Order: sequence, then structure tokens, then C-alpha cells
Amino acid sequence: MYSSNLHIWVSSKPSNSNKNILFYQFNQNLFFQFSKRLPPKSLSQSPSPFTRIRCCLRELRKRIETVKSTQKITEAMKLVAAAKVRRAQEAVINEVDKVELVYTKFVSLVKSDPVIRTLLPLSVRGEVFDVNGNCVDAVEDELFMLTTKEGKLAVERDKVRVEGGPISPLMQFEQDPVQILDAMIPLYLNSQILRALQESLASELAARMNAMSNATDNAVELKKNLSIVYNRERQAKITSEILEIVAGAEALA
Amino acid sequence: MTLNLCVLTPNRIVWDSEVKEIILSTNSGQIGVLPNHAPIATAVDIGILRIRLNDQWLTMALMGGFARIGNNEITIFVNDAEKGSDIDPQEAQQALEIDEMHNLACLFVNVK
Repeated sequence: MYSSNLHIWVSSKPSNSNKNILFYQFNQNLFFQFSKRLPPKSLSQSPSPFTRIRCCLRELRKRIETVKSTQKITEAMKLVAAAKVRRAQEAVINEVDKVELVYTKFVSLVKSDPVIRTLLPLSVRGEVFDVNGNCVDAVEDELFMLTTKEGKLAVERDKVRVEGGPISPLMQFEQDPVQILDAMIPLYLNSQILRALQESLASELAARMNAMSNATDNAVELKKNLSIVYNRERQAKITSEILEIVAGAEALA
Repeated sequence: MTLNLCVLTPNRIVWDSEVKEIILSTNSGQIGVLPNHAPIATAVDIGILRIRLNDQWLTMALMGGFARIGNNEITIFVNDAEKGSDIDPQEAQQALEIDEMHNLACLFVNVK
């Protein structure tokens, strides 16, 4: 009888009602009925999924609130990810106009320059640019030599010689162009990227060396100052103790 | 007449001296290069480079790249190269077995 009541309740409002409300009324019914008499065996079996979650109303309400706020957070994260994935997809599916690499170029132990290198499109000159937009390709480098000429100091300028002689016009290619480019271009790009990584590593280590050297010097100076202050304090304390003892001795004598 | 061979990887020069003959494995088969070879440019497959110095053959493993042969100068640019004398057979055998098992595992995962 009791279980049939419950059954009717469920079927009369299949989808319209809020599931939570159904919940509460369920629990209320169960609670009131239980207080009257022992539950028959069928009862304990039929609404089992609900009895398992059953707990007091306040906790359920709190749980609903937390789930609601979690839902808001996850929805926001979904929107952010959707925007990002769209942009990332474009980079993969569509073509890009230019691929550039930014890294610090190692000049010397105390100097590093940030530099922009254009990986693609490939070009003979105009590949590496510094912060001000000036081209600093290796091909543009010049060598200055300080020498003496007729007993006076003089400077000689010399263009950097880029290695690699002219290609023989009789040269044949063993494979078709696609295969040759497949072999050449990964090598070229790998070496560009490796060069950038090595230069940035060198400049990072040089910067770290400089910073730590300065820190060591500061520490040495700080230690010296602190030692002087400590010794002065120590001597002052000893002097005051001696004075106290002498005064005490005099007072007794 | 001898050939001047240069084998270069991105971070070091593996070989830079004169040889009598080399056998290079390319994408389209193995080619032997003797002095006064015609100038060619070819892609190099992952394989073994054999070098002959005065009736003694040396081997080197190359990891793919590009080679330029011309005017008795051979320049081979590869991703990585190891001289045969530097390779320990035991270690290589172990590495091979590990990689084979790896490949089999990947196959199973893909099939599923």
C-alpha cells in the first residue's frame, strides 16, 4: 500500500517537476511514514537509490550551491578553452605569414642583446634583427683590426667572408627536388633553432655569473661591516663590565 | 688524388680529413664516390657511411641529411653521426631490443 503510493507519485509528474523537489517530498513522506510504523520489506527495496543519497535538507541545499558555483567555473573555463582552441586551430590548419624566433644573442661575458630571427620565409639577408629594427645578420658583420701604419695607429675594415663557393653549373641532383628539400630544410631549421638555444643558454649563464659575482662581492662587504660592528659592541660590553668591577672594588676598599 | 671529406653535425665536426673512397647510402640507393667524381647533390638516408683510407675501411652511422660532392670535396651534413669504433655492441643490442618492444607496444595501442 505504502509503496504503491510512492509509485503513483513518481509517475504522475514524470518530467515537469524539478527532480530536487521530488526528492524533498519523497524524503518527507518517508520520514513521516517511518515514524508511524516499521517499514515493510518492499519499501526498503523500491526507493533504494534515493535512500542512499538521503541526508538532511540543509546539507543537500549546501551541496546544490557548491555544485552550482562549480558549474559556473567550469562553464567559464570551457569558454576560455574554446576561444584558445580556435586560435590554435588556425595556426595548425591555415597558413602563417611569418615565423619568428626571439632570443638573447651572446655578445660577450658582460653583454647580451635581444634579437629577432625570422625563421620563415627564408631569405639570404635580413634574417636577424635587433630591438631597434637594425639588421644584424652575420653577413653584415665587419671586422675592424687595430694595426700600425707608418708608426701610427690605424684601423682596417674588412668584410666578413661568408663561406661556400659558387655551385658548379654541371651539378646534378640524385633525387627529385621534393626529396632534396625534405632532407635540407629540416637540417637548416634545426641548426637555426639549435643556434638560438645555444646563444640564449650562453647569455643566460653569463648573466647568472655576473649576478652571482656581484652578490658575492656584496656579501663580502656586508660581512666585513657586520664584523666591525660586532667587535665594537663586544669591546664596549667588556669595557663596561671592567668599569663596573673596578667601581665595585673601589667602593669596597 | 685524394678526396677531402667533411662530415658535419649541427654541433660538431665529426670528420675532416682526406680519404681515398667513400660509399654513401642515399634515399635512392648506395653510391660510391672516387676522386674526380662529377658534382652532385643528394639527400642522405639514415644508414652507414663507409670510408676507405689506404685499404682500410672505416664505418660511420649517419642519421640522415644532405651531401654535396664536387671538385674532390665531399661535404656531408647530417643530424647526427657516430663512428663505428665509438659504438658499444652490447649497449646497441640492448637499445635495439628496448626499441623493438616499444614499437610492438605502440602497434598494439594503435590497433586497439
